[in-house]
Amino acid sequence: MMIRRLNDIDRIFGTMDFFKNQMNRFFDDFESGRGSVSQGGIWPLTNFYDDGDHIFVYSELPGVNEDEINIKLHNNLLTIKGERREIIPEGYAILRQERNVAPFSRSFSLPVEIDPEKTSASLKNGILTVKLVKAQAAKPKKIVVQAA
Amino acid sequence: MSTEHEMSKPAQDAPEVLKPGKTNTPDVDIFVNDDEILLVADLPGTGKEDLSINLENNTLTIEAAFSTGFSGTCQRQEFDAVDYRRVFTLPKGIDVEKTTAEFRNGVLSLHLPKSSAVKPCEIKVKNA
Repeated sequence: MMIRRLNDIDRIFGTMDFFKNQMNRFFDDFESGRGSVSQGGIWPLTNFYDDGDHIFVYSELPGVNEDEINIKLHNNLLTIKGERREIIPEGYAILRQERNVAPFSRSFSLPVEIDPEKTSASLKNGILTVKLVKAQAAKPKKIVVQAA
Repeated sequence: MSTEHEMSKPAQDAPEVLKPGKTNTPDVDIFVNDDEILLVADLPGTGKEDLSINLENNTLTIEAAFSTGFSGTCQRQEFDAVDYRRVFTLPKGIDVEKTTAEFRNGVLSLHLPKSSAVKPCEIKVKNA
């Protein structure tokens, strides 16, 4: 009788440990801010920077080649589109898969007029940089205060 | 298989690679075949020279410093320019000496070959 009880207690603690681990993993994902991303959320994550004359768009696109990215600018709507091809190596079994595999597409409406002719993009270390040059009218102007 | 938050070691044990403070957990795929375990990690914003891969007592630590700079002032931020760190506990039977790594376009591929002792092998039955 006693032995059976001890086994039960062991089992209960085992289950509690399991839940504890699951919760820890959940919170780790949550804290790192990437949990939702690895489950097919927003991708690629994108930052916008402004230095007055340009807008810089930075997208995290690790493992994506230049020819797999399609960037379009139309009516101040910037679209970054593509697909990550390399992913599952042949002859391997998958033990864990967190990296995004789906084709991606994101569109951003830009707050200012852009000169489409001068737009350029580069890819380095898995970060795509799109350099948008603001149209003349949208550039900041310095207003000089004159003495009356 | 992974323990993201490990107790921080005293400074003299580990060379200073990362800035102190928050780190990101990189997304990782792990594949396996008869010969090796292949670990693939997304580390956008880091270069080959920013990487530190450490294998000690079946604990694999991947650290990478975020080295991409941004110009201008931030208008919208979805990802942080913070360093990466992730710790894995490896199974026994990894041939540490033969471990190789490649880094391309912000993706690290780490090949961890199994030592011959744990590789599956077929035993032929001979005719008596």
